[in-house]
Amino acid sequence: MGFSDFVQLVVAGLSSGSIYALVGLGLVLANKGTGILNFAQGELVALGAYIALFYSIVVGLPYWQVFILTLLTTAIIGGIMERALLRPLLGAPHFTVVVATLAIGLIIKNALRISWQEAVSTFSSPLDHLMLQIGGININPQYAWITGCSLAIMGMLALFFRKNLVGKAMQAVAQNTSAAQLMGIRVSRIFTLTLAVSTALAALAGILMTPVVGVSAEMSNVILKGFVAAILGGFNSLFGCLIGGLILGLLEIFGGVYFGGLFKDITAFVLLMFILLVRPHGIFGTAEARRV
Amino acid sequence: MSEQASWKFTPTHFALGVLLILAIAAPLAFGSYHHYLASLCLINIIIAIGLNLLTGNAGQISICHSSFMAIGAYGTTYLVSKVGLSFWVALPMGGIIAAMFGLALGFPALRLRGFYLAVVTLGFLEMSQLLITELPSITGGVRGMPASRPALFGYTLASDLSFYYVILAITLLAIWCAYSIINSPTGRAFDAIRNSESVAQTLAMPLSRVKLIAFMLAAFFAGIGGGLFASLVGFIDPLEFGLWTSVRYIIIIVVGGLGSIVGSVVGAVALTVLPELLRDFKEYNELVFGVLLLAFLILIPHGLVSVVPRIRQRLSGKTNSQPAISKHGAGV
Repeated sequence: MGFSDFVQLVVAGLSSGSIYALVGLGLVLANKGTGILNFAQGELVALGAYIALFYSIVVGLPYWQVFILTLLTTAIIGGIMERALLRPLLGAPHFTVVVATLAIGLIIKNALRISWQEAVSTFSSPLDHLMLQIGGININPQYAWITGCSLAIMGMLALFFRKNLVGKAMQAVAQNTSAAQLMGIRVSRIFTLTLAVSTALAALAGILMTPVVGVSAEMSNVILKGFVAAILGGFNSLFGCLIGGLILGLLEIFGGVYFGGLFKDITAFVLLMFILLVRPHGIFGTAEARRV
Repeated sequence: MSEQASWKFTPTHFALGVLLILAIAAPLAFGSYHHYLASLCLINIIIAIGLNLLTGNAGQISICHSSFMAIGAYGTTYLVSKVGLSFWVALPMGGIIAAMFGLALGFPALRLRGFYLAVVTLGFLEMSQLLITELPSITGGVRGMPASRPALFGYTLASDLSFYYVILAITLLAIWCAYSIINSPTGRAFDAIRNSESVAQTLAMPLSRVKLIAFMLAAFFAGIGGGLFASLVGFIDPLEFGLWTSVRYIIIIVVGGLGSIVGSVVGAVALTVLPELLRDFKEYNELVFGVLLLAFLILIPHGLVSVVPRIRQRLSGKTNSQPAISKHGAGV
């Protein structure tokens, strides 16, 4: 393998890794903020891609407007979903939460399948015909855009949590809901906002993935990769989740090159098992105190 | 138990007897398609009972039940068609292979609970799907694999009616096994770890062993069901055993009633027949099921089996605040 091949693989691995990180981050945010683990996150990725497809093909908007409008729309959908469907589940047994969110995912997936039956299953992005060359090495601009955009959004999110009052309130609620409530934070609003941000993150992953894999209901399978990224990162930190996603992306790409396609596909599961058995609190997480 | 000494013929026994006679006699009045549908109901009952033992009784979340079904289906079919074993040897072996995988999956489950367990079972499901498609020499890959009907006493069970009776016998055996398990010390241990793992452990209950048994039992039932399913349908492919199939069995036990054998039976029959009634709206099927599941979770969390006692209670005017099914269902 030449140096140029190596760089191209790294770029491809980082781009898929940052998609995983985005999905995982949505899961972590919702879980930390509200205690719900959303098994419909994968379907929300597909939902974002379909909404972008709708704006792009039916409404005919340019990419940048599609991008922003889709994020706004899905954020609103996420907020409504929290109010209507997830709120009754707060504090419910884990089984109920898992099954209910699976049901929500099932409903979204089939609603998408039924409502969009046109043959078109991708939308154009301004980067389609570009070629990026750095130091004589060809780099797919899609990959660069996926990585760059995810990193930028995550950076903004980190700033939001550190500097913005609302962001700090979200962190407070995630750390201790009742204490946050006693400090005068409107917890129920924060819940809605958290789910809105989490849904928008899923949609962002969907938009970014589209030029590479096309739009389909099967996009929802990415949820498992999101879980692995989140669990690698200890299921509690933004940074851990990012690193977890990138590690998974790189392992998949290089595993696929050296050991074949099957290895690439089962990497996620093997990694998941390994981490959960050896270090259930992830690479960056801290161990749970209670281990009966 | 003191009731056993003075066994009395109660209305429940009468109802069960009528049901059994109906199950044996009624198919004679119907055609082949209905025999096929009835067999499918019975197979779904077997598989749902397994999941209900694990989830409803032992309180362990699993969304990879369809994988165990796939292992049983592929295992049985492979042993029959490639190794040349008799179906009646291959079927239990398929179940045992599935149980071994259940045991293997049970080990990480010992350290994990709740959400993490759900994630691991999801991962197991994805991996089993991948392995089926990526190992075409054993499984036929995405193109699937044909399966044949077994022979009994030199007579091939080619007609749906004859196979139905065989499946009925196996289903009755499965129900009896599950009933005995639930009423055995192991079944009570399931209830204990569902209600509180810490308490069960404090009472010196072998937590890991009980959990592993639950996983193995569930996988075994699913494996047997899968083997029968392959033989009934005559063809298996990986699409048959995806996430949707797992969710369908979860819907069955939630709609029927968690932790109850009657619930598994009612749920399996209802959710096998319902799609057939809605055949004209086939593409809406999964959507309807999703809504149904959500509605049951929120409105009738104890399932259909809790409806009749609750109505009876309402009619008799007792204002007993105790839920009708207090022994099972809660705390999952």
